[in-house]
Amino acid sequence: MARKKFTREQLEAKRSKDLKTMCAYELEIPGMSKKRKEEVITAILSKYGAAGTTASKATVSKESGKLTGMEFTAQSTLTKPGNAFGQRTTTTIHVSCGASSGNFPVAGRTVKQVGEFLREVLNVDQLSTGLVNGRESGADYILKEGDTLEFLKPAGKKG
Amino acid sequence: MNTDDNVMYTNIVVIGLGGIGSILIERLCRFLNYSNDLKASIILVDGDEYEPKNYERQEFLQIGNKAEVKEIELMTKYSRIDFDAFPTFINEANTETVIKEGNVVFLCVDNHKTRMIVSNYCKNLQNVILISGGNEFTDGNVQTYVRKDGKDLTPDLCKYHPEIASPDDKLPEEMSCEELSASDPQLYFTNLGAATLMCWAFYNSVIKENYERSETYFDILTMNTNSKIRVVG
Repeated sequence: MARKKFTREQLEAKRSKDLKTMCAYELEIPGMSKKRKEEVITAILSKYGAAGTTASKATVSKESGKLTGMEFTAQSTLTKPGNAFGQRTTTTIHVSCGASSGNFPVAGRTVKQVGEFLREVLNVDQLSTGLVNGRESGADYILKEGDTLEFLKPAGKKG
Repeated sequence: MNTDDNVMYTNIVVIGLGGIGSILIERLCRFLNYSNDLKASIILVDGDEYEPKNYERQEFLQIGNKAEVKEIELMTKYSRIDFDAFPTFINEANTETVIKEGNVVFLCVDNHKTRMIVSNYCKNLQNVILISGGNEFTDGNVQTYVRKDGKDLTPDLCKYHPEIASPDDKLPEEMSCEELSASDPQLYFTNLGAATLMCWAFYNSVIKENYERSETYFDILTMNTNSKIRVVG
């Protein structure tokens, strides 16, 4: 029997319940009954996945018959070097200013960019100093996974 | 702070008896007076007068100098605590008269210049715990500066706050009558939040000797608090 191949688009078009049934009875992937749809898809792709690309439109020259252009969409699962295939990497960073804080997808951005990005959300002052992992950092420091960022809020004056 | 026969002796200085200080002192005294393993003395410091404009946020029973009025009130309620009043604003010249080695200092003032003076003075002491609170209309923060055996265990008030290190305001005694009377509006509940966090800081730093989180921010609109671990070096 030919080995089945699936693309992410095909799997995402199916209902979660159908995917789990496929895993249990057709694809021999156990332990999926209580997983979320995304995790089920990742598990199926890791075993039966076609290349994570979908050619959607190709342009061929009429004169030469050569391929002159192609549009496609690509999807990939970000994976840490030491992680198993499909295990997602957390790219959110804990950012705080005063009493406000949250986890935001800002890994790879500079401290200055994040300050501008979250100015209204966290009420970050334009002149606020950024602390990365508790220590003062330059505005051009590029945040990486695992960092924490705090924009210093001035102390309350009244009493 | 000394211990003898399982009783901890604590010498406390409360600087500023306004919106935060007048709330804080009542809660602190209730705790200290009824803790059998604690014996406390408290110096109350404030050069300001309690006036009708303070009614909405401050807890006093009569008009007069805040330190003196509050001393009389507290003496009648909390007999196990020794009280003293210092009815003057704190400044560089009189700080050493008020703050001594081993004191626990609550700083509840309304200007950064006093915070800077007191923090810098404490840097020259061997042992001291300084708990400072301040607020804006609906948010604020509390900082705990701990020195033990001549070493900083937490950062001083200025290290992470340039607005305290280089204040752009004045001491109360440097202000004109117009400046003194034209104060920004404050919210009683925000003062209450700062006073409560200062009590938490006292319990952690003095009773539990836990100095890990030396700064806490709060915001009563988002109903959040956020405590920070600050690096000393």
